[in-house]
Amino acid sequence: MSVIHQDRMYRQVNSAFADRLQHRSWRRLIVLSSIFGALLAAAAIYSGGGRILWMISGSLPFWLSAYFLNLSLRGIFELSDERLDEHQITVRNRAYKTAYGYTLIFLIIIVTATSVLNLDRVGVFSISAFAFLTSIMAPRLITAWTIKDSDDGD
Amino acid sequence: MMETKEVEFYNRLKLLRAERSVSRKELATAVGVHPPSIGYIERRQYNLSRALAFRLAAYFGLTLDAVFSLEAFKPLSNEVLKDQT
Repeated sequence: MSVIHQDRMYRQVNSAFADRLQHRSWRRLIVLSSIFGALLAAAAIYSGGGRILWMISGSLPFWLSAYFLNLSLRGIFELSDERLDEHQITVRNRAYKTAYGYTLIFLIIIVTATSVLNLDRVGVFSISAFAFLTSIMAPRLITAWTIKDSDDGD
Repeated sequence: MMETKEVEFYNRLKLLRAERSVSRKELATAVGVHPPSIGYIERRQYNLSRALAFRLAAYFGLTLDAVFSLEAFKPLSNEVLKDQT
């Protein structure tokens, strides 16, 4: 990622708007929206017969949620180490470690379900899309759901 | 194999900030972290690195053991009264 992009993101994740997304209730709402967005994307792919336009339009709510998720986590998964402090780096690394285990179990369930349900090509593709989207977002989702409020009081 | 357990530090950061009227943001900027991270350290929700502990102690011009401890600090009033008697 370019330095300009990183600078812009750093400003965004430390803006007054991002501050308002730091509360647990907001973060959890964004997590649920992201999961719903991934389900919506999978449904759009399935109902659109795998057509590219359906894929793009169906996944838009997911990517929008991902944007807000990034803001609510102050960009700890997107910014370079130089722009994060040691606490943020620790939280990020711990999340990757935790998410790895969950993702593995989740993928096994998805693969088993796909083979048992005997789905067609589009069905397998839409379930794979859901698995892919939730897997790449798993560390972010887990962190946003579990992290304690930062307590802005002085 | 020896089990490694995370050590929890007690700290006087909140007290020192209040005493010297230093905001969380000012302290965070001075030691190079984000303001919420100071809150996590104060509430013992994050075990900071030694480097950061030294930077924090240096900011207040105190030794490390005056700011951080492995055991809970006694109320400051107790220590003041002990010195007077």
